[in-house]
Amino acid sequence: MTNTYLQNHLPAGSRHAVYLPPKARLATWQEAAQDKLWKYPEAVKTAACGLAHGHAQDHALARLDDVSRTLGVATIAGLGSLGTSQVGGSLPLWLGGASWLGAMAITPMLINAAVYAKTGVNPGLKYINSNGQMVRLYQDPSYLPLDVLSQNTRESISNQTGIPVKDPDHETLFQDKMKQIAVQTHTWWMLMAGLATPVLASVICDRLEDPFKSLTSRLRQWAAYQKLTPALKTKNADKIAKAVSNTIQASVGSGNEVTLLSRWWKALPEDLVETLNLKKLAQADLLHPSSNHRFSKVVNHLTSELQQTSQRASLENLLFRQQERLDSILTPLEKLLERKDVKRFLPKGVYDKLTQQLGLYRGAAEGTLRHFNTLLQLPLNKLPKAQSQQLIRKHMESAVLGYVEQASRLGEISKASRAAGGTNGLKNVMGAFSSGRFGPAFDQMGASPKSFLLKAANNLGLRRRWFQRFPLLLGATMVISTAIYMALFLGRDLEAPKSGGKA
Amino acid sequence: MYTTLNGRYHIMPPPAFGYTGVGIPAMAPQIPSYGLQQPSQQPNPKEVLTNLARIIDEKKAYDALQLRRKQIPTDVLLDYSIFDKVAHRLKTTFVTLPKSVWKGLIGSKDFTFADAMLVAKVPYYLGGLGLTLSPFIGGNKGEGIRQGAAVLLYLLGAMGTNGVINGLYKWRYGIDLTMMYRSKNGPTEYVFASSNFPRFDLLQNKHYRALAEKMGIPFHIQDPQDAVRDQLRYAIVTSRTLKLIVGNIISAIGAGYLAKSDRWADVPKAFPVIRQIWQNRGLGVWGKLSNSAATLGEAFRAVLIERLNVASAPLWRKVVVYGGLASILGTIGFILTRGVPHKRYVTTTEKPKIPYLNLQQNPQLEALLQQLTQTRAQGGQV
Repeated sequence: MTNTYLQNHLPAGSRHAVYLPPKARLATWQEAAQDKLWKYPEAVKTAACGLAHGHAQDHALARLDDVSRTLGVATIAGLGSLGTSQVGGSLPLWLGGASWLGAMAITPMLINAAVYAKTGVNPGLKYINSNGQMVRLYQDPSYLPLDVLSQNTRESISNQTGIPVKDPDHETLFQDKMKQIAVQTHTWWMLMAGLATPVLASVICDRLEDPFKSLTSRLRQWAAYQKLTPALKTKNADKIAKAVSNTIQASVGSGNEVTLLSRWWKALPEDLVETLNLKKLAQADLLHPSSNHRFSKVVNHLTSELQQTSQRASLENLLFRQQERLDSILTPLEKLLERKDVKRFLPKGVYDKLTQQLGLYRGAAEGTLRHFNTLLQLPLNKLPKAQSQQLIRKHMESAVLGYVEQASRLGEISKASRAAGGTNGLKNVMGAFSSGRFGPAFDQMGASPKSFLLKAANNLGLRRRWFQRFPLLLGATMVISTAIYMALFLGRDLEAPKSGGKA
Repeated sequence: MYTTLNGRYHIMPPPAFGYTGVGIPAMAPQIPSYGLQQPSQQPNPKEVLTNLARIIDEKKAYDALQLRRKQIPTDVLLDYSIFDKVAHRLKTTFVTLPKSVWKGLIGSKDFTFADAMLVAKVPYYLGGLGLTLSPFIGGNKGEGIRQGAAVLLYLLGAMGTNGVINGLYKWRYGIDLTMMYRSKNGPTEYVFASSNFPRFDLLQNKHYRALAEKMGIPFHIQDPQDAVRDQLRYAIVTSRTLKLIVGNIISAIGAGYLAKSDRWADVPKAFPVIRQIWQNRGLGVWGKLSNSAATLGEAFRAVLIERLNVASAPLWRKVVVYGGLASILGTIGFILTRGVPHKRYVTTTEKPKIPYLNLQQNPQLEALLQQLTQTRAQGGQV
C-alpha cells in the first residue's frame, strides 16, 4: 500500500520506496510464545545499546525493566527453600527460581481465564503495533487500540457484556466497557500476584522435589558408570580406584540426599505409612508429647491392621518389593567389586574398605526389612487381641537385639554378622552395645520397627499441621474471592455518576 | 506604564484587541474606526457613544478571555527540595496508591496509565511480605529471618542504587533526573521519565544555562539548547539502563548472597540489648544512641565479615564478591567518565578548518570555482 500523497511529491525513481507503515494487528499465539523467550536476549541487546550509544526506546527499556525485575525477584525467591514445608529438604536455587517464574506466568493465566469465561474478553491478548513492537492490548487503559479485534470478537463480547449492538453510541459504550474490564483485571491481577506467586511456587516446589531428586540420583549414577569403563581400560590403579569409589558413592554415598539408597530410605517410611494405614491415627496422638502414649497408639493400630490377612499380605508384598529395589541398587555394585580386573587393580586397603561399606549399607537396610518380617511371622490371627498386642509390643522393641541374640545362641554367627554388615560390622555393633552406645549399634543393625514407625508417624503428624496446609488454605481463599469479585464487580457500573456532568 | 502579557513595557496602553498572538489573528487586521478615522469631520456624538459602548464591551470580552487563558491548566515544573521529594514519595505510597487500587477495583474512568504503573508495584511489596512470612508461619524462624533480610537488602539495594546514580549525575553534570512537574490532569510525574518524549518544553533558560555550564558546552555554538538536549537524552538512557541492571539484578544477587548465612538468626538478639540500653537512665541521649549503634554494628558485623571475607573461600564466592565490587566501581566510573558523551563543539567565532573548502588556502580550487561561475554566467552547461 503506497502512500499516494507522498508519492506525488517525490521524484519518479524513488516513488516505489515510500510505503505506509504496516497496520497494527493481533499477534498469533506462536508469536506471543516466541516473544516470551525472545525478550531475554532482547533485554541484553537493549542494555548493551543503551550503555554503548545512549539510544533506547521506552518500549525496550520497559521490557528490560520487566526482565531484570523478574530475574532479580526469582533470584531472591530461589535462595532458600520455598514454601512452608518444614519436613522436606531444600531444593537448588535455580529450581526454586524457575518455579517462581512459572508461578508468575501461571497467575495471570488463571485470572484471564475467569475474565474470559464471564465476559468473552481475553486480557492476555497481544498485538504488534506499526513499529513492530509487541504490546499487551489492554496494557494502557487510556489507549486501547480495539480496531485490531475482529468483528466476530466484538460482537460476541458485546453480546456477553450486554452492550446494545444497534445503539448509535455503540463504539463509545464498547470502548468504555473494555477500558473498565481491562482496568479491573489488571488491578485484580496485581493484588493477587503478590500472594498467589509464593503460594503457587511453593506448591510447584513441593510437587517437583521428589521427581527432581530421583532424576538427579539416576543421572549421577549414569554419569559415574559412563566413566567406569574407560577407567578400567587404562589399567591404572589410581584411576580405577577413583572411578569405582565414585560409582559407589554416586549410588549409595552417605550424607548425600541425592543418591539411590537415600531415596530408598526416604521412600520406605512413607510406603509403610501408606500400607499400614497410619493416616487413620488421630493428629493429637501422632504429635502427643509422651512417647509411651504414641507408641501404645501405634501398637494398637498395628495389631488391628496385622490381624487382617489382606493387610498382612500387602505388608509382605511391600517388604518384598523394597527388597527387590534394594537389590537392584546394591547388587550391581557388589558384582562390580567381584570383577577380576577390579580385584586385580584395586589396592587391598581400598577394596576392603569399599566391600565393608557396601556390606554395612546392605546390612542396615536388610536388617530393617527383616525386623518388619519378624512381625509378619507372629501368629497374630490365632491369638486374642490383648495377647497379640503384647507380642507386637515386645517384638517391636526387642527385634534387633533379640535377633542377634538368637542367631548367636543358635551358632549362626555368619547370619548375625551378615545382618550387621560383615565381621567388622558385627564387632562394631557388639562393641557399641557393650559400651552402652545403642544408637550407633541400631544404625548399623538397621532400624527397629519401633523407632522407624514412630519417626514416620511423627513426620506424618508434622506434615498434617494446619500451617503446613497454609498454601492450600490461602489458595482456596484467593480462588473464592476471585470468583466473588468476578461475579459481583467485573464489568458492572460501580462508579457514582459525577455531579455536573453531561445532562 | 502598561505591561502586556509577554512582559514588555509600553508607554501607550495596549490596543483593545491586543497584539497578534493574543489568539485572534483573523481579527487583527480589522482595525475598528471608532468614528475617529477622519479628524476633519465633525464627530457624530451618537456614533461616538455607540463606539464607546463597543469599546467597553470589547474590553470586557478581552479581559474575560485573558482570565480564561489564565485558568486553562498547564503542566507546571515543580521546584521540589529533597524533603518535598521524600514527602511526595510517602504520599504516593500511602495515599495515592490505595486510591489508585480502589479506582482500579471499581474500574473507574479516571484510571490512567500512571495509576496502572503505580498499581504494578503492589506485587513486589506483597510478594516480599509473603516470602518473609511463609517460613515464619511454617515454624522455621531462622529461614524467615534470612528471607526477610534478603528482601530488605534487595529493596535497600534498589533504592540505594537509584539514589547514588541520581546523585552522581547531579553532582558531575548538574542533571537532576528526579525533576518533577505537575501535569494538567493532576498527577505529579518525572520530567525525564521517558526516553522518547522527555519534557524538554518545561525547561527554562536558567536550566539550560546551568546545565551547559556544568557539562562544559560552550554557549556561543549554533544551538546550545539543542546540544544540552542531546546530552540529556544520552544521560536519560544510560542512567535508566544502569539503574535497571545494577538496581534490579546485581543488588538481587548481592542481597541473596549476603542473606545466605545462618548468622542472621543472631541479629535479632541485639534488640533486647538495645531495649535495655534505652531503659538505662544513667546514659544520656547521645550515649544511648551511640551504644545502640555500636550494638547494632556488632550484630551485623559478624554476618558481613563472614560473607565478605573471601580470602579462603571457594571460587564462586570470590567471583560473587569481587564481581559485585567490580560492577559497583565500574558503574561509578562509567557515570563519571561517560555519563554524557565527549563532544567537540564548533563555536560561532571559530571557522571550520576543512582545508579543501577553505578557498583562500586553496588557490586551485578558487580558480576552478571562478571558471565554473563564468561558464554558468555565459549560459554554458557545467
